[in-house]
Amino acid sequence: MAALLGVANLTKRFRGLTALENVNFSVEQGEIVGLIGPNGAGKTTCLNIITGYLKATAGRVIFQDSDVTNLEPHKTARHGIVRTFQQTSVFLNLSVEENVKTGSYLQIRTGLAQAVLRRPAYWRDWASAAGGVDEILARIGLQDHRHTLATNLAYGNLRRLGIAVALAARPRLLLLDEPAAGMTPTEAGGLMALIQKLRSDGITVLVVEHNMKVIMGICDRIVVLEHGRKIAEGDAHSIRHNPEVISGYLGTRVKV
Amino acid sequence: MKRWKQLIGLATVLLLTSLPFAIQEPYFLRVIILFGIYAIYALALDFLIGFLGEVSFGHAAFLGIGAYATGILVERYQFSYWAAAPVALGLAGATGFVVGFATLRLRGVHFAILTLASSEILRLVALNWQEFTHGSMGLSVADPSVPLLGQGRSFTPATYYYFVFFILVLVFRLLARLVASPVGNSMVAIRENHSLAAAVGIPIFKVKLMAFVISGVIAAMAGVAYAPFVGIIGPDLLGSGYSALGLLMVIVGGKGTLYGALVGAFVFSIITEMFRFANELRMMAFAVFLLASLVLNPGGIVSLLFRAWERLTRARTGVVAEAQEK
Repeated sequence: MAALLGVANLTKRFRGLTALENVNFSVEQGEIVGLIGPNGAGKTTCLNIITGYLKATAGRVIFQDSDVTNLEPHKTARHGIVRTFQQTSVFLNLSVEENVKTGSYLQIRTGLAQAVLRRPAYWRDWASAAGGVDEILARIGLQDHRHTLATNLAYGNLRRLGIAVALAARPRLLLLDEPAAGMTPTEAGGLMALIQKLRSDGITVLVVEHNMKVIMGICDRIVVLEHGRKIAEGDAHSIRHNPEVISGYLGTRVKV
Repeated sequence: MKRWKQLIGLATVLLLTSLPFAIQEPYFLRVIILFGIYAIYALALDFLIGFLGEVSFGHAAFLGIGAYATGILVERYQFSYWAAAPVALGLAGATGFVVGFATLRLRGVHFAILTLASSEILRLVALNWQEFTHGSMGLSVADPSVPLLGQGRSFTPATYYYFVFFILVLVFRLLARLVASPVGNSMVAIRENHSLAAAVGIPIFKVKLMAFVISGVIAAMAGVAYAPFVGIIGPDLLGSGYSALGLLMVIVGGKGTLYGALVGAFVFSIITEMFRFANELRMMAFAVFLLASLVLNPGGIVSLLFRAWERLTRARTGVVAEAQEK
């Protein structure tokens, strides 16, 4: 069986600068894959190309046997590839509930005419959307903050809400861009548990992260980028002992 | 709460229907009709600015297209007003589609400048295409005849009043439903976080284009009603003055609530008329008031009203809770 996501010979040049060069890797259904590397290695560029926020200079992105290279972001989302963002991955001025409801846009089949006429199907759609919201809030542990404005949430909860918004879009592949950035060790621990729970619910995860405790703790496989090239790939143990990775990124004597 | 809302709605309808009987002075009635037309226009803009978060600096173009298309069809092509109106709205929708298609991929300032330029082009067309528009002389538009009552019965101020407020109520209900629906949700999502909206599958360009066309058609409705009501229209109707008026109504009233647009229209029609005795002083005082309201209360007048209402209802529920405790 082919991989869920296949990235083949992906290259991205910004004028003179080569951000990615001939990067190849794949993500199998049900895996948690980590994408790591020093700042400027091309991790976020890679996410941006997979999700359509940047156009690849060369190479392809294959998802579930269909070519999704350079599709617009909302179209990759329709294929089931949903991402979060490093900075704000929520709608700050909306409540927690509204955030998740907005995330479930693809689940609601309400067009203009429906919105104005409000036939029974409209209310059925609304009700099923509301049910989906309940389920996701419970899954992510934010049900007590339902009516809180996102901007008033504690930092850890704000990051969790970012994941909840993405989950509402029913991803098959969830791309997380530094989900643990700025988290306390306790919050990071909660995040690891959450990501593992998502996997057991059938969601495949590709995560970009600098927190090695998180990466080593949850990833089945790790892809290491440096200066736009893949320098290593393997499980946590082999990455931790890979001399090239140690000299390029981790530094000597990692203890995790 | 629901009972209260119904009562308020019923009271509003009764008040609105009886108003022309209560007001004997035709001048007052005209000011109130003007309020209605402004309100339709302001609602169209609030839909765009308050919900989608894109500021159009050329929305008067739609007002003007509605008015001019109606006027020209009636004068040159002997259309009846009732046949001309839908054609004018269709034309406004088509213009909205073309202008939106060309400009909506740009955001913020770029979009604003392009809308300004588009409306300026249309104003110059209206000014110079004398054969159709009579240029700066203005195009006169006759009162429409009352439908179904045969020819010869033209609109009176009272008919204009019912006509305009019928459109206003209809437009308000329509927009209220839209903004409460997933369509409105996706517009707000685009306003709040453009990239994230795309990430969860919202087709940004399509939603923006749709909102722009709807907003344009509604602004044109205001123009269609305005043309015969004032009787003569000039190229200024498409100019930056009327575009700015629309923006001011939305921002002073409070954006993103629909109610704010009504409040803004009220301020710029009825309240400005009330202070007419002050002449030039009026506009100066008004400018000061405007600046002060923007600096001190960026949420607009409607945010004050909402806060007062909240305090009122909270006080009430507080009393009820106390009574239940006893």
